[in-house]
Amino acid sequence: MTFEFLTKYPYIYQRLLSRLGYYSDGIYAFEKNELAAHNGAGKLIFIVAKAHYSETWQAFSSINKSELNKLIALKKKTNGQRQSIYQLTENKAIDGFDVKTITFEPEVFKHLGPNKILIPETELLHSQPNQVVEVHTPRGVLFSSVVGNKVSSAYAQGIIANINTYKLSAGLPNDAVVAQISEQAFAQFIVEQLQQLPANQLIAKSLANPKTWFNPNQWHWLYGAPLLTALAFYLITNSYLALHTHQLESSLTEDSGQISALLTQKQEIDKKAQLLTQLSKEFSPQTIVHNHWRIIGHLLENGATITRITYKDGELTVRGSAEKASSVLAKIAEFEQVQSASFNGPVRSYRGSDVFVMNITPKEQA
Amino acid sequence: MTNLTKSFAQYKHYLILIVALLLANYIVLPLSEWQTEQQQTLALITKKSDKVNQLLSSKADYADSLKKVDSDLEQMRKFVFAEADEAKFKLSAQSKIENILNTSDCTIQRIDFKGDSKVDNSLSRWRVELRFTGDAVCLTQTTRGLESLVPNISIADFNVNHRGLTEEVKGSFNAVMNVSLWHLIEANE
Repeated sequence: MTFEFLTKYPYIYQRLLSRLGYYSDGIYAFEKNELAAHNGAGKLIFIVAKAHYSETWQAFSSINKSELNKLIALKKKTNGQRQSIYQLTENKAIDGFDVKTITFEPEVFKHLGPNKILIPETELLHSQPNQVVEVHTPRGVLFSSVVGNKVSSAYAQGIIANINTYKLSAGLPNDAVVAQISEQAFAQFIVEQLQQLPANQLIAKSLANPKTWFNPNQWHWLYGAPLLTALAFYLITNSYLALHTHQLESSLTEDSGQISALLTQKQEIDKKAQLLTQLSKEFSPQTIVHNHWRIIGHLLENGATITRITYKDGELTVRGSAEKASSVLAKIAEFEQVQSASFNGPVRSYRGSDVFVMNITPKEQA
Repeated sequence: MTNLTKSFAQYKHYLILIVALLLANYIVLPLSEWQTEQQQTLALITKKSDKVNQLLSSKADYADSLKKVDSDLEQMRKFVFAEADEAKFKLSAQSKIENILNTSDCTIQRIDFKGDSKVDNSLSRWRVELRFTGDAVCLTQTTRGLESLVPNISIADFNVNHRGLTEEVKGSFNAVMNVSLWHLIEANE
């Protein structure tokens, strides 16, 4: 997979391009297909000029890849600050591997910082196989060629003053085709090369130290800050609640004497009110019995002779005799103080008189 | 010591994470639970405090209520026997009843306290049976006297026998009368 598809999305492409820089004795940005001096702010990926790194080749014979990887890991550990890119190429002739080591100058890290992704420019010049290029870079004219997997390059200086001398030094045929890239076209050329490079190769050809991208102490704040905020919140709110509770409790304690007295007073009121209610209930349904003597008097006036008067549950029971008991009953039933009157059992005749037992219900007095 | 320092440096981020988890589990969570408890406690105390304030603001009302209820009770007190103990009450009640019967020219046969029932903690209703003989004047004056007596006496029932009472209203009655009267024993304040 290459990154060429990104050109279809101009916004994303421009955003990514703004993160790309070029380093050659200074920092450059890719602006409108040209290199422009820049302060480096916001740049994450840098293509580094050939002048700032060195390339060495070493052959490891009779070794398998895992052992070689262990050796390289050990080498990386011992190198310390000097970080390098190691590219492994299988060499069947020696039953081993050729290892290309690209080592950046310390000043690169000093200038750009340790957390940037660095890509050596010579690794981007050969998207086409077996190509010889003459590139006019900001640092000077750079010759580069690739034979097999091996890229070699040199600036036009000293005895290698032109492309023909370079061809001779690199063991290339005289008729090898040379692609010339002018200084104006360099920016566009290098970006296009970057787009055409497969992702897996780009990863292998670049130097990145992801450990430097993150500050673990800052990660701790992701949960530490909410935790401390929650702690502070609970401490403050609990303190406030405890203080408020204490104040209310103190106030209640201060008032307890008065409250106790008031409650005692209230109990006393309730008790007395209840007694009053009971007394009212006891006295309210009373009937004045004395008034019933008028009913008895009325019976006597109407010719009755009385032998027994009983009063119970608000009812008078009169036992007696009369010449005509029914007449007496009729009279008493009409009396103003009587609500109802009736004989209790049969009226018997005895020696010319009617003997009766009469139940009389007096009217309730107002 | 150097190894220990190295180990600490190597695992310091794990240690920080563990400390944070311990802080969350043993300090922040208990604090959160404590806050809930405190909120509930505060709600209860606030409710209690509101009630207390309401009670305190009603202090004058309670005093007025007590005054009124005392006044009402004082009015009612004269309708009941308020002797301090039962013996004194019985003596007082009996002497008042005897007085009425005697002034009504009745012949007392028996005045019997039949027992009491509790109306309230401090109020008892007593049942008293009166057995007496006398003429119609005795009978009517007795009922009048009993029913107009203060303290209050209520006639519950009666049974009056006569050999044959006519319009002339002559002759003697045998009367059995049950009356109710009330005894109030107020506890010393």
